[in-house]
Amino acid sequence: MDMVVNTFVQLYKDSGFINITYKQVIMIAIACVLLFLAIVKEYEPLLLLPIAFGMLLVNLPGSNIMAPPQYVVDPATGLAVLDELGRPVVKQIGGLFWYLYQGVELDIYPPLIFLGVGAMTDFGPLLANPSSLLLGAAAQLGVFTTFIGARLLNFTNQQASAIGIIGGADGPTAIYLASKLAPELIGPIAVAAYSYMALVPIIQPPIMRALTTPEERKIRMGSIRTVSKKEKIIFPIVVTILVVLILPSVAPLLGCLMLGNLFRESGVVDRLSDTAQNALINIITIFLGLTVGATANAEVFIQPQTLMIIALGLFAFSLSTVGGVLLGKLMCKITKGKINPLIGSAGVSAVPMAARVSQVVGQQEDPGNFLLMHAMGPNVAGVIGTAVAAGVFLAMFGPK
Amino acid sequence: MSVLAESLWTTLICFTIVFLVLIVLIFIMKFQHYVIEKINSIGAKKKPSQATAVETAQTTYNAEEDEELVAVITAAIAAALGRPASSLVVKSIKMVDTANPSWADAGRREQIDSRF
Repeated sequence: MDMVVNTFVQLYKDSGFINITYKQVIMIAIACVLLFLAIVKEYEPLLLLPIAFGMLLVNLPGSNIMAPPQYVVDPATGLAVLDELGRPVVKQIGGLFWYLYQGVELDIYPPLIFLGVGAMTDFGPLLANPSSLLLGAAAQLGVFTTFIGARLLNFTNQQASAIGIIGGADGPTAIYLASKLAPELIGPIAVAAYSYMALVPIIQPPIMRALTTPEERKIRMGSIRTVSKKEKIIFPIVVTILVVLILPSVAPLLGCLMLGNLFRESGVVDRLSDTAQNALINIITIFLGLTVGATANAEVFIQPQTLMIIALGLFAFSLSTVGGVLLGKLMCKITKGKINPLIGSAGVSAVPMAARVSQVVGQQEDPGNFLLMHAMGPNVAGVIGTAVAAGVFLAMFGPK
Repeated sequence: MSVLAESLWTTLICFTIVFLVLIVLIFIMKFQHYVIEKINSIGAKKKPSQATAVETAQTTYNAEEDEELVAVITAAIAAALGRPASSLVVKSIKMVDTANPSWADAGRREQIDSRF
């Protein structure tokens, strides 16, 4: 009888119930809210669901799913004992997510995601109207102004850069920059970046309406020219050569984006293009989502600076929208009403959500107005703009 | 330098670099479009000689004797249907689509020629 009781007592002592902290309870609640948003509200479910589940798993006490491996240490020297091949002898292997997380820590996943994004992106609207690249640049306004805000709140240059990039609304770039410059903030930054990407249809329209007149919103932009196959093939090659020569640090991100696009446009490697935009990006999304979510453990996440990052992220994202719309207005004035300022907000790189928002807001004013293709130009320009902004930050504050 | 001034400078420099890089890209895209257009227009200039040839051919074709045309069309229909020409009565022959671009005609003719 004693043995049975002891077994149950031991089971209870080993269980999570006795070890759970109030911070972990809060994190589990947050994870459940995110799961609700992903499943019921369908806000960016492809990413929010794995992120939320990763967050849930890592905050269940005793799971050790994110624990690093432990090595045998020589008590005399305090150094790890090496085997005959010179590798440290493992005492206990790490948790599953710790190994998967190496793809984030070593900056492997974000460029691979970009490979898939490139294979899914049609640069045609951008090539048809190259000046929309300016809107993609203007929509980085939030990134840089938030950098100032974060510096004033005592974040370091590196941390401020990683927080500011949330304004670009580009998850992989935000994770890439955070893992290079401020790995300690990767959890809150990724959660903020993906939450705001998901909330694009809620955050952007009020700003767009406040900054434009009904007449401006009604502007119709006509049809865009057809872009030849040759142009679409040459574009990724030229951009890669030029931008990587200017900003070498952006090579992994931009190079993969353009390689993916070349897969798509060349028409000779359909199998590779198909893998990049389906199987590969899906696999990487699972790994990235789960492990980024798993970085949000209670001890790191429940701190005042997380709230600050989330607030600064919202500020960054809103200001980026403002930047895009304001330049859109300026371009509207210069071209004497040929450009609808609403496409400016699509300069934040949440593809294709931000372009869809431009379309919806335009149609609310004039149901016969089709802005989607015009907004895709600034939208893909935003992806390039955010990658370039990240490259500039890396060049200035990155490890030398 | 105070944090504010320093970060303002950083922002200004970074924002300017982003704009400059993207402006350079705009010029590259425009230049690329210009070059491709040029190459295409050079290619297009070479083609007109072929087009004239097709047009001349068409004129001669139209100028042919009506009777001969009727005979050819009747024979073609008979061959296509697999019935003797004597069982067919051609009542009228009309040009169906006069708005055909000459390149389409040329292509069609090429297809037919390649089969006979």
